[in-house]
Amino acid sequence: MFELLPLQGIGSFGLFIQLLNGIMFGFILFLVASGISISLGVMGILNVAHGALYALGAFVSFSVFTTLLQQFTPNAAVEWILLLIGGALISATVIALFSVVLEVLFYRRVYERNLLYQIIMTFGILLILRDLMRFFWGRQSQTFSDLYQGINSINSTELIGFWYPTFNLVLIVTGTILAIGLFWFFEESKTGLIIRSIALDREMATAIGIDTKRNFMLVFALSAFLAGFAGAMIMPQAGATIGMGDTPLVLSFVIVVIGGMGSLYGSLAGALAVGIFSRMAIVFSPTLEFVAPYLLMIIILLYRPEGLFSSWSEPA
Amino acid sequence: MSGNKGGGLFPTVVRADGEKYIDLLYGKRITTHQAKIIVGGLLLALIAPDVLRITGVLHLRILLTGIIWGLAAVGLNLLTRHSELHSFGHAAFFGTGAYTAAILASKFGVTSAFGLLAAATLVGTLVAVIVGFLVKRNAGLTFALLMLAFGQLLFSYVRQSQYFNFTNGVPVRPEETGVPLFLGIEFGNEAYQVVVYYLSIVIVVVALLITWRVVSSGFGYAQYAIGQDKTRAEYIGIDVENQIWRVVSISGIYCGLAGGLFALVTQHVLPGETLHFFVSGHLLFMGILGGYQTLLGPFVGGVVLTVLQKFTPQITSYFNFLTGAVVLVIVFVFPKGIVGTIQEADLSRERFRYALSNPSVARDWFTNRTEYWKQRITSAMEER
Repeated sequence: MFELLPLQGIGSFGLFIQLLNGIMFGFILFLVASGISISLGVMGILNVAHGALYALGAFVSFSVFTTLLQQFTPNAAVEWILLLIGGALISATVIALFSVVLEVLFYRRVYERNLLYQIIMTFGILLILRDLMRFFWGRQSQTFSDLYQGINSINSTELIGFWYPTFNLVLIVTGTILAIGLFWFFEESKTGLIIRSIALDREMATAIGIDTKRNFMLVFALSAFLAGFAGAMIMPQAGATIGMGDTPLVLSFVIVVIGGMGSLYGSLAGALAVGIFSRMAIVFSPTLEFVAPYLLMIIILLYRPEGLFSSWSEPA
Repeated sequence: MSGNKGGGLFPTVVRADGEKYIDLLYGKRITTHQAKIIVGGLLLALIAPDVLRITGVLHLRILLTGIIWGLAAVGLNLLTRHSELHSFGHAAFFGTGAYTAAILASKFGVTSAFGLLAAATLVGTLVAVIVGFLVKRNAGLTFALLMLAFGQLLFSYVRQSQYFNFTNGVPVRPEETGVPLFLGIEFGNEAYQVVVYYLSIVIVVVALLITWRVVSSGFGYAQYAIGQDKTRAEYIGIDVENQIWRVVSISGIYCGLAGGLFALVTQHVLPGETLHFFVSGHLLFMGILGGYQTLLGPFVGGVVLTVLQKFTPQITSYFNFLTGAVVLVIVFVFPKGIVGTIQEADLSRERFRYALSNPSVARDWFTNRTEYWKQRITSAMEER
């Protein structure tokens, strides 16, 4: 679970702090949910193991950060940030490569099969990944407060006028940059448009000569990369636990329902909505924090069952 | 095996098509071979507690838990087999049943075991009705997604709720007696397990008979139609939404009842064991492990998976890995599950017997085995 600093404030300032927390949480969720959304939209596969990839990203980043800190010792705060982002990118790449192995060995063989076998296979992969994590990193959760404190040493009051963990700010900025990058990728770049065309009409795409096999691998690797990156980025603050992927996984599903099954904008909107809603709900009642996303989902289900946005292939 | 060709409530021997059949339940027929298996299975079930006690191979409790999960898996299979609705959230109904029994026992002092069971079934079904209403417009991927979300919703709520004692769970011990009573009788520890065991056997047999009847009724065929093509089913006049609602509610009965039994057996209900989506995943897998296209399959899958999971900690602590590996083996090599593969293999049993009586073809039978396995794996890949 996400253990944020105890910034439970009362009154409008506290609410604003929780808004920022919610935005940060929302971006993390967006990274995970977009992975689910694109693998769902392009390959039609519901990857229940996606949360485990997120957790794996956190564990891998633990090892990566440890190794990096043995080589370099950051002095200035900016160097801490570079360490964080660099380490996260490395971890994410590792996860992406690992996911390619998974895709070739297992996922590839179930695309054409019954939905039931797809889901249950990803569930099997999830179980295996969980024990893999336990095998390599042990049962205890890992934390990395050095990195967290290091980044927080930048005094954010100079930047934005009040104190708020710089770490969170870094996350928000990185998340925004990544989101913009993702949207650019899917709207402007050739590969992105090819992927969208496969999502729109797979048969037609193969008819005009698009290699679906390679693109599926690419999409799967991309979704794993995003999940691993998210796990790595949140690790210094929240630590790495084996079960940490469960909540983001389910919330990703909620987000996909809220935002619309195939829409990247929908995932962003849904993720921010869920993040902000659930964090701000803490101010009113701690119970509400966990229940809020589901309530949102039920409301959307009853009044707009196809989600806020329409399909993935047309981003609007 | 369709249609009502007469017959009554009690089994009678019937001759038709030159073969002997046994007539059960108003015209549903089984072959003598199947009848032998059923009677054998029932006998085995009846003597199991004594066998287990003497040989000490397993605790009765493990078998009992397996049977209970099997019951829940049979309920879930109603959706999986016919309607092609893959629910990843049935732990919600199971856990609701378990928690209802626990809360009633501990906080309200209800001592009657049957009362606890009835309440568990009722509340579990109620939750299923509500959830069914919310998801009935969806099918396929969205359905799986939503069921998972609802299951996890209940899990998250219970886990952080003080009333439900957070992650420590709720015991099923009424204040007065410490143990739920059956018809007012308080049983000692071992006798209690045996009583619950026989009760579960009876419940499971009845549930299987009812499922059998439901599955080959008009309702069952409507579900099958929905599973094949929702739009066409709508066009021939089936009210798809309401049928989906109904089948979810009915499966809730099984799961709620199983949850209540679970509470009675384990006498302490934890959220991680009853509500987490892992539990739902295991339930779904039990159906596939046993063979989701068969009636007995999910039940067999439930027993086998539970015994496997309770047994493996003696060998290795990585039982998640083991379960996952079994999942992959089933998905890629034995998609029909245990019972399904056995049913399939029956055909080769005929050939085996024939080969035995004709030594000249025996060699061909043996050389065909490798072909058979190669073909099995390739056909498993194309399994739809």
